[in-house]
This record gives sequence, structure tokens and C-alpha cells, in this order.
Amino acid sequence: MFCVTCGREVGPEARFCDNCGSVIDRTEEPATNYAPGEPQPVQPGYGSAVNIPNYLVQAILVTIFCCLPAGVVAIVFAAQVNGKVAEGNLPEARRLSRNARIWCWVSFGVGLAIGIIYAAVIIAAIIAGFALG
Amino acid sequence: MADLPLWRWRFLLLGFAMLPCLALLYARNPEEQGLYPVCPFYFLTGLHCPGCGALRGLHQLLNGNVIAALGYNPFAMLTLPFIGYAFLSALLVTTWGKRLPSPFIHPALIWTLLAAILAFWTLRNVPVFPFALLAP
Repeated sequence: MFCVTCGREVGPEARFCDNCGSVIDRTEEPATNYAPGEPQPVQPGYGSAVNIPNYLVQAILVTIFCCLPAGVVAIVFAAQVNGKVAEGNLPEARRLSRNARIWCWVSFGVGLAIGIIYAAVIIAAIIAGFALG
Repeated sequence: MADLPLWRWRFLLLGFAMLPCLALLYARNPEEQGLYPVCPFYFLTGLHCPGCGALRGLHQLLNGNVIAALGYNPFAMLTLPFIGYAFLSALLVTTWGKRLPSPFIHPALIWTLLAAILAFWTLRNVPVFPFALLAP
């Protein structure tokens, strides 16, 4: 079961999407009808029914605005997600979509860790500066 | 999970946390020493990453100097409208559960973008005339 608004996988009993908070509509479940591994022909760009997030915006944010080389991996996955959607291979697109999300978080986490260590070093240097007069 | 998706507010919280940051960036120029820390990537490698100059560029943009902003980091400035659109769409999803139309981006376009980012990253570190313009 996938959220129609943002494309995130949600639990079978969920009433709201964990990611965006939208109400889960159970009247149509387009994503659950395919047999695993069997490609489904889809219309590329047909938004709501086949909405698999590629995390391209997040990937660009971590790459360009956080200066993180790991973001490049996320962009590679984002490109592959749309490639698989264009081919109609939705299970593979969803797998790659998860990878894109993971790599965005990896980039963000590494950036945050470096930032915290960096800030700690600067604060320590300032305190040392005061202590030494 | 609770029935009420209370944590949808985390996005709005993030949005509001951005406002004082933008106000600070508007008021104080990153070219001044001491207030903003040096980028860790630049500190460690001495190289300009594709985001180098984005903060200084954003300061110029907030003060209305578009040409100066493009001079610091043309790539980051050109991606801003798209990021703003995605941010607006995410804001609408979290507040009303509706999103802006999101057209399917052809994979070839994303591969081109990746190549452009890597080329930009490389060329702005070449200290020779035409490429030196890309450096912040």
C-alpha cells in the first residue's frame, strides 16, 4: 500500500500517511495489484496513480547546498527511479526509490555529524582562546 | 501511530525555523569574518564544491543583487526556483494534503543534470580564465 499523495509506503492499517499526513484512500489500490517482478505498462507522467518519489530535490539539496559527495549517489538513484518508471518496472522503481531516500539521509547524517564535530572544535578553540587570554 | 498526524507540523516547524536564519543572512554578509563558520569541505580540501558561494550568493539575492548572487554560484541560484516550487508543494501537502502538479522528469534530463553538477564541480576549481569565472 502506497500513499497516493507522496508515494511513500504505508502500513496495511494506516489511516494517514507517515510521511506527509494525507488521508489514505482505500477505494483504489493501484500499486498492490501487480505480480512481483512482472513489469506493468504505465503512462509515464500519469501522476497520482503511479507516484514513486525519486527524491531528486532532496538529492540536489544535499549535493549542492550541503557540499556532500554522497548526494551524487542519491542523484544516480533518482535518475534510475524515473528510468524504471518510464520502462514500467514499478517494483524495481520502488526499490530504487527506497535507496535514493536512504542515500539522501546518509548524506544528511554525515553532513550533520561533520557539522557538529566542526562546531565543537570551533567552540573548543574559542574557549581555549579565552582561557589563554 | 496516533490517528492525528501531529508530526506533520515538523515540516511547518522547519519552515518557521528558516525565517530567522534568512533574516540573519539578509542582515549580515558572510564575507565578514567570524560570524559564519568556514565550509568543512573547503577547510579540509581547499577545493570549491558545487555549493561553494551559495550562502554568500543567497545574501546578495536577499539584498536584491541578482548579478552578484549569480557571480558567487550561478548553479545554486538557478536551482532555487525549482527547490522553491518543491518546497511550496511539500508545504501544501502538509497543510492541505494537496500538492502542486509534479511533471514526470525524463531520466535523460536527470543524468544530464548529474553530468552538469560534476562538470561544474571540476571546472570551477580550474584557475584559468574562462573557468575561473565559475569560482565564487
